[in-house]
Amino acid sequence: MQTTTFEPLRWSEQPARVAIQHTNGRQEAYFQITSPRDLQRMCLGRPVEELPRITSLLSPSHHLVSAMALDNLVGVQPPQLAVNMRSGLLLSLCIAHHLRKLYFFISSHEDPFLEFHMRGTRRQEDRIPHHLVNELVQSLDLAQEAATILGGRAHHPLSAVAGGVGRALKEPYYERLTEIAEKSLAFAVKLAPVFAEKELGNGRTHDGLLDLPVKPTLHLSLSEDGSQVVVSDAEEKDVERFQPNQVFEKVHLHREPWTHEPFAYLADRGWKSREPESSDSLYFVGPLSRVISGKGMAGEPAEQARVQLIENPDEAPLFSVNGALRSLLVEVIGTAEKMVELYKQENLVGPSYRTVPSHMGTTGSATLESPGGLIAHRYEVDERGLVRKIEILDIAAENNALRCFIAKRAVEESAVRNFSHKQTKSMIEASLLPF
Amino acid sequence: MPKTKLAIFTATGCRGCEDAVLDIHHFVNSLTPWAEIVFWPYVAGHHWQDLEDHDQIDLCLFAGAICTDADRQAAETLRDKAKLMVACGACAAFGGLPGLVNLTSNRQEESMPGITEGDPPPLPRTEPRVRGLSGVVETDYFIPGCPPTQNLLWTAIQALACGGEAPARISYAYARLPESTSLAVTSGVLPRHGSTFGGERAVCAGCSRMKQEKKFSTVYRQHEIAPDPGRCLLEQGVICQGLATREGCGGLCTAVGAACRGCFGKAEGIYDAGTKMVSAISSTFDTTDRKEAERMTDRFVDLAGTLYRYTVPEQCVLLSADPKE
Repeated sequence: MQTTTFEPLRWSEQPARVAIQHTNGRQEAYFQITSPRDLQRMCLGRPVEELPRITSLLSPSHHLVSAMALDNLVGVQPPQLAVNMRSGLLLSLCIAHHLRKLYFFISSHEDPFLEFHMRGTRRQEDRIPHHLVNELVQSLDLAQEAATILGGRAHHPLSAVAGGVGRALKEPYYERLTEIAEKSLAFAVKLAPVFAEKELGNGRTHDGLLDLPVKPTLHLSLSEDGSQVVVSDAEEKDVERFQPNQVFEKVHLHREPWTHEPFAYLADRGWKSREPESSDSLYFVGPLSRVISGKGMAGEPAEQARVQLIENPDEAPLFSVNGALRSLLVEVIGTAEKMVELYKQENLVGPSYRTVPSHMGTTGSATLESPGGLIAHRYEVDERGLVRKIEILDIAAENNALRCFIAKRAVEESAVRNFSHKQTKSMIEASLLPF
Repeated sequence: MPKTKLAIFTATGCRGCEDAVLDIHHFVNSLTPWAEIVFWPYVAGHHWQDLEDHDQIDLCLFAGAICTDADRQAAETLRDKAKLMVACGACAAFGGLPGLVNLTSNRQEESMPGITEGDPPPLPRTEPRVRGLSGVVETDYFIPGCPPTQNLLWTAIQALACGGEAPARISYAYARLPESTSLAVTSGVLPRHGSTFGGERAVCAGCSRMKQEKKFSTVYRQHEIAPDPGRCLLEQGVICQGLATREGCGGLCTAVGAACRGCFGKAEGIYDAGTKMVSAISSTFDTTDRKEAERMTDRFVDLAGTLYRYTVPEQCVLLSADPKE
């Protein structure tokens, strides 16, 4: 048996590799997360109020869902100002998350750190204009500035606490946030058509690999008001709805000895295999799921982009790497529209930013649509408020069967096209990027 | 003049440190006259084989904690290649949040159940204890923080990658770095081996909150109090580690009402940050009554996990030594 390994994988947030085992003319690809996150061990015995800061290690959105779980644990409703500030933080995180992925995708064609005149191998007219790439980075900076204003820090925010947020905003920030929202929307509307044409249009995809159809086609998202988790099929029919606090009963995790990341699946349907083609318990989460469900669109430009994504028959299949990248563009517009609505002074002032709880409960849970997809936390504490049990469903990361499937298809396709080791690695990385 | 060959790598971590380098995007591009990024798998997609093209690299920014034997091997490989090895971020510098697992019983290899047929590729072995970079290889410099603040990161990169030629490093070096380090940086020579690109004093020195009278009359946990936004958190009874933590962040956490948890590591001259905190707090108890003092100390929970939040593997005196040593 011979093993080919692609490691380290570019743009992967966790240490990961793809190992291909060749046996008797057959090859099997394994997408492996090679280091444990060990978050449970980090959190057990910690004071529960510290979890929003510790769990932000997973991603900034975990800070927010953790604070929401604390609200539930201590039995308080945060004041409207705190709710708005937390929502505002989530919007800025979403823009930063998506723009970073789009920037990474652009940089897959050329070394972003070479001097300008040495960059790239593509013809000038095929590229996104350099000034637009610069604007993208500036727009990313602006989103992070908004996250810093609202969350204290962009990467590991710390403003959300049990019952609200840690402080109110200072006056100069109202105007600045409004400015950031308007600039973000203007840029998003400008970027989407150029990116779609230059990076994703006909002949611009990675030798057609981005049109690779991917399964599964079931998808999970939170309803607009956050009161239900909706399971939909490819035709947009609701297959099931359930309460967010049931998510740990409805979604189970299957573990394999060759990867540290578990495989999330719908418990009612049972674990069948990690092959989406033969398993109906696997699903999508994240931008593509939200966009095709019509969520996240506040205004006309985003809705137009969404309809165009879904209805345009000339484009790549909807459930594809290409479709996932396009959904990032649509969501950037939709999120920027929401920012314009929310980042107004009247939404960012209020008599109180925090409700101080009077008692500590025993269990608390919360669910949130993070930029990458649905995430959920559930805590159980002892009489001193120390964490006794913690469950975290990071469905975006634990949607592992999908990632394994994409890596496998990229490997198969590369073999058919006789790609080199380096080209195959690039194909795997580009295919995994938008998910 | 040959360009400085730069490598950037994260072992087990959240990529926050690498994102922090990316966040100085325009500046990083301005490094081009001095430095060439020859190994940055996360952003530029380099392979391990790409390192073999270089007999030596000049500077390696290593982020993340050492949690598996693959992390250890990566640290050793990069140490062999790099003239200067820099621990970038709290995980590499002190073990960081992943180091909290060292407070639980020894990590054992978990046998995970599975139904995969055949002979799937094995995973790297999990290390018995999480370590910082300096726990496994010699480390030349430290850039603390979770993640490091952009100004410090940029100053360090310029100081180490550009020699004496990048002028933009100077103002920040004068303002924040310890005197010996700032003198070296502004003179265009390498700082003393083992230097930390952080402040010289404690976080309290840069915190905007007013300190009046350090008297500890009660202990509040974060969720139990909406602290006065202008007054020292510790004086209000919230355990804030600013007085034992190295300055350099400008009091980011305390500015948003959150207590310092020590991601810059212990301040200069402190032997053990946790001991320093316990000593400082207990010496300012606003009571001489033993029962009252006991009532207050009973309110402290999870001292090890709080006072060594980011530093268990490398800076907690009682726990940092390898059990075999």
